[in-house]
Amino acid sequence: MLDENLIANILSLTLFFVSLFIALRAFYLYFQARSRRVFILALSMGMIALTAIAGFAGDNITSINLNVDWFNYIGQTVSFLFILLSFARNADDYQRGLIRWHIIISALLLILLLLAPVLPDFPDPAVTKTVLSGSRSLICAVIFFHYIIAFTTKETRFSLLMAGAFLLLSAGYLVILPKYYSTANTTLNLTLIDHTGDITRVCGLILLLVAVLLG
Amino acid sequence: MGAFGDDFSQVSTHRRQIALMAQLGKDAVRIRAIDDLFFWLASAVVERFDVQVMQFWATQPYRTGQVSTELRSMAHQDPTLPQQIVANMHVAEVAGHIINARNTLLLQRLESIFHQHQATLLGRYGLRYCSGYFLSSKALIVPANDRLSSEKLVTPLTAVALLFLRQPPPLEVQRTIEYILKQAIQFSEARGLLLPPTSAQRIPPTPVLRTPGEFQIEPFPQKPPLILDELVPRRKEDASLMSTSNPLTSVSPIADKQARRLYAAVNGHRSVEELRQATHLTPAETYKALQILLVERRIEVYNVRGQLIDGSLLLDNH
Repeated sequence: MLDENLIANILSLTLFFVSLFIALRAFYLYFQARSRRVFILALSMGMIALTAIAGFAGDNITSINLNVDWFNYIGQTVSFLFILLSFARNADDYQRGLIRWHIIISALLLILLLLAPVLPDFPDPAVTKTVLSGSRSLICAVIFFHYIIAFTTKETRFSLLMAGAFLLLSAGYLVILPKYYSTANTTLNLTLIDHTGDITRVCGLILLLVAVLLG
Repeated sequence: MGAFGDDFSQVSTHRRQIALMAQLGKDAVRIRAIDDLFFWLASAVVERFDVQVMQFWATQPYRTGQVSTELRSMAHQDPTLPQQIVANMHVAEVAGHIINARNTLLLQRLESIFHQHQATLLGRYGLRYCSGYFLSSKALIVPANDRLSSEKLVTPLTAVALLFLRQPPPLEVQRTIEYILKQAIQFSEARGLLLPPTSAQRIPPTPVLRTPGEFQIEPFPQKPPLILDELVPRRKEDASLMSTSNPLTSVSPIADKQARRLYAAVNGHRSVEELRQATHLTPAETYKALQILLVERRIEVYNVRGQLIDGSLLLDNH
């Protein structure tokens, strides 16, 4: 039987390395070209990379209590949201305002991470986790539709690959929702759901990496 | 002089030219700005060719639309010579006239160039003759760094090297000086003492009215040129970035460090002057950075009324 944590660990590490790669490359480009959208991408992916490594630590370090769920769920939701918002308008004033808020909220999220050893569990975890995980799925779905529309406007490999990546990510977050609220006694089914969601997301991340490398 | 004398004179002229250029090459490391070069030239000519006074006057446009002729550098043999005798509005007028005529002023007696009073004043210090060598280049001259430097604009070099002499110099000296001045302009272009030739600011020449027998300058009213400091740059963001184009491969770096600094400060509201203050760039650096950003199509420029300015006006040399 597979180690319960193996696939989750693979997901965490894949998410970490893919996000970190994109974040570092984007930050480098930002300092060379000073593009506001690139900064938002860099900060978002950097934050997602942090959530991934925090999740890995939370799952594998048992000697101390680390409640990284607050940081993970909210951090990923916020990061995807800012990527989505960066598509909304092109105006420089808007992008600058977005960056300002992104930095402020990211700083607050880091406080959540630092408080992980002392934070309590989510109040009503079934509902909270369903809402937060569901919002990740929803935001990724909207991003998917954005790339589909972009592809229909101008058929580029990049927009097609990104659409595929965010479709898989959205589906991956959606598939795991039942594990938060399900009261079923068949743990095998919940484990299967969890693994399916994780594998789907891993595939989405690999496709995301392919998109930024080859798109 | 016979043929032998002519040959000797030519050889001598050639040798003096080479010697002076060689000296310029040796001293080049100390010459960091165009005014340094002007001062070096003036000092070298005054010292080697028995020229009493040598000056460099150049056209200087201002952001208000005014154009004046300014003294950039001067050297004189006689340390007791009061500067105001040779650096005053009368001399500036003559320098401006030579610049506007875009032609060298051949050696003449002062009485035929200046008002009687000025000629007499100069004569008291042994100055009797004057000549002026017109200098020009498409490359841009940076304004002199004085208290008004923020008001000044860069402009293609149009200048005159004015010489005051006690007696007419030999023809070979005149040829040598002319040659040296031409070489010095090329030297300054090659060494970056003059900015690369673009012409964001087209300065209309000041028409000159001259009444018979006199030198007078009556500037015609000019249309104010594009006042660079009041323009407002705005970023040109690629709408397709991150949608149809990969941001990690399609965003090109801004190679020039100062252009990058300026671009980071552009917020769509700051004028060129405010950007310059925010980035602590000199006017010349700001102007060059703006040109780079315009050429790379990273910004658009608007006037104070919010109207888009054709960027090519800041680049083309019509």
